[in-house]
Amino acid sequence: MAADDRFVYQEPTGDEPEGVRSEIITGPVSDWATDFSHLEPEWSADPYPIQDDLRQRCPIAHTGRFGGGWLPTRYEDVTAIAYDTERFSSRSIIMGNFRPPHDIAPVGGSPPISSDPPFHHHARKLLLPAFTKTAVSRQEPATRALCHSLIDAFEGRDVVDAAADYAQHIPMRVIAGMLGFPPQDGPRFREFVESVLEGINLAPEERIERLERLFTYLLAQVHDHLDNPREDLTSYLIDAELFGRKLDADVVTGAMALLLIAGIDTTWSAIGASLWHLARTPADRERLVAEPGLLPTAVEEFLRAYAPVTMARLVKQDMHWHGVDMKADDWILLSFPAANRDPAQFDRAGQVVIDREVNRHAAFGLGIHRCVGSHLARMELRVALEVWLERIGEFTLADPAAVTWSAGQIRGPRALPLRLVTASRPG
Amino acid sequence: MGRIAGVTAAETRERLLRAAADVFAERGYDGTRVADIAAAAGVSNGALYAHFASKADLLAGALRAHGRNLLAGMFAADPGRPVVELLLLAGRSLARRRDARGYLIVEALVAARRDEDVARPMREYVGERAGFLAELTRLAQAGGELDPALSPDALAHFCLLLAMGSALVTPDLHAIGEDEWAALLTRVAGALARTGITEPDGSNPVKLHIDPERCQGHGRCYDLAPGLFGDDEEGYGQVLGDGVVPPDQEDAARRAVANCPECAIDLLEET
Repeated sequence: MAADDRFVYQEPTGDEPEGVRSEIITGPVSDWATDFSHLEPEWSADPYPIQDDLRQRCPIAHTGRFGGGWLPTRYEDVTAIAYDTERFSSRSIIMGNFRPPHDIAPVGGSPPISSDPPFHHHARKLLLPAFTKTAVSRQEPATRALCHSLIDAFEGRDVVDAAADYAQHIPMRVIAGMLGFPPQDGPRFREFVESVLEGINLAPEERIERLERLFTYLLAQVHDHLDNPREDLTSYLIDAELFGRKLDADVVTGAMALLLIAGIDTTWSAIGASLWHLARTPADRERLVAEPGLLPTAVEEFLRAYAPVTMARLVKQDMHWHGVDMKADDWILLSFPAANRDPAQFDRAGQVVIDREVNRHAAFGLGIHRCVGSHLARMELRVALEVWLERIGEFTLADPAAVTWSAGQIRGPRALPLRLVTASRPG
Repeated sequence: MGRIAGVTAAETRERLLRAAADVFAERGYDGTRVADIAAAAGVSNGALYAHFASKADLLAGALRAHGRNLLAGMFAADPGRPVVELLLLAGRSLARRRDARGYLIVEALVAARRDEDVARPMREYVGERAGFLAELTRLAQAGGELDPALSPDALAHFCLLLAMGSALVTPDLHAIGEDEWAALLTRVAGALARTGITEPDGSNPVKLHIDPERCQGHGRCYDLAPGLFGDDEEGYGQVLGDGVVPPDQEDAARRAVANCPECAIDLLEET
């Protein structure tokens, strides 16, 4: 096919718009109300007591780290910000030490998650049809088969790492399939995910170099698809048109980056956290083994109680908002996990109630930025737990001290050694 | 001439109106330059002026195309639906937070106060809205739903005040509980009706309605009550059929309403 000159590598000219960098501040938090950091180990290990405490004594906490930011912990405040795209921009949704330039809006670096109205609407419309419940149900048989094959590989072991040997592979393989990337590239995806989401406090040069590795990889995939177009999301994005024109190269690779990064870490975290809960809560595990029909309800409760995703926004203008003085370009750490545990919104908010009937949780966000992959994530989470419970009924934490959690805005177990009490059943 | 290959004039016009609605809602009338709208729509200034004579013209056009007019939308979707029911549904949504375009009317009303160029098309626009409401009232009177002694113009004016007032007094400034507000509206509607609307007592058939401005496609409704809801090609929720809930599916309907993260579903008791 004819060469597509959108995707030719261009040497940086030095004229690229510059963002603003802030001083990197790490180390123990003095007071969570005035100095919070979602990148410190205490937060990764167990953020809920911190959030519960803040909700009581300082519902919109502040930090001077990352160049300044706010952390609302009440459901009411989190939803108000999620709905208010006029005062809060999605120009960057990862709170760190770099603020992209203002003129990157309304598209942002990884549309549509980084986009503001009016562009957001158009970019999102492009992706929605590929992620409806019906569309993602086509991935279900392959997802189920994959889960079985991962458990087949446990044969002969009584301790397995459910995060590394099970949870992570499921979304990696599914999204690689949808994007048409080589399935054996999984380990590289993990590296990309960690670079984007956890490398927040690295030196700028190191961070830029890692991001370049991701975009070089994506560009290589684009070229492979230009040479061999096929029925997948990458070819779809390359050919997609907005306003009668094909998409700019950075919109194509930005959207690919979003699907790859957001599609993996999040679901991996949700599967891992659910298995962690079941490993330490025998009553819930036994009930779900006995009543598999309850699983979809339980999945919603796991999503509420262990919502993996926290987003970020940037304040557009100086303003007095719900009792605090926000400055233009202050960060908002938009914690859906904290909103989901607000006792003003949820009965028994701090408990996991697997048969909770009314569950208006915000795990997938609220308003125009509702997670575009929510139907896919729900399917993967349900199938992953269904197959696990069917094959391995009884399991416990092999070593609670060995469980580790990811740092940053996506939280889930990254090492989760489980002891399989009953040998896995044949699938 | 600033046209993008493969895009029709109608598509360009639609894009301009969409961009105008978003930019005006965000920056206000005075804070918006015509060039900002052209840029947001991805067309040249020349192409913009081929479609709209002035900024005021664009504002009125954007209001008609993208301003909030829930009642007209619901009436168009289901002209056979009882008018009192439409009024109640629209009334309930007034107390809720809306998206930026829902506040476009505020920008237009403020601009109309200061600028005669805007006041003229706005008088026309408000006149159209009032005319539609009065027509709806007459329809309901002819159908025996509303008391024939009511002045259609007075009721239209009353509804306009509620609708426009709700854009000014936002939930951020002053909130009211959904249930309390709905109960009050039911009482008001009862006083206007010919036959009288009874308080819901759980014995009447119920009907579902999704507010398309609030639905974000979470899909909890069609997960929990697949017999009552489906999705469109982008995953947004749709009420199946006429929305009337068979008695054996009322629990599923209530579960769907209670689990919608955006509170986008209403359950109305028929009378």
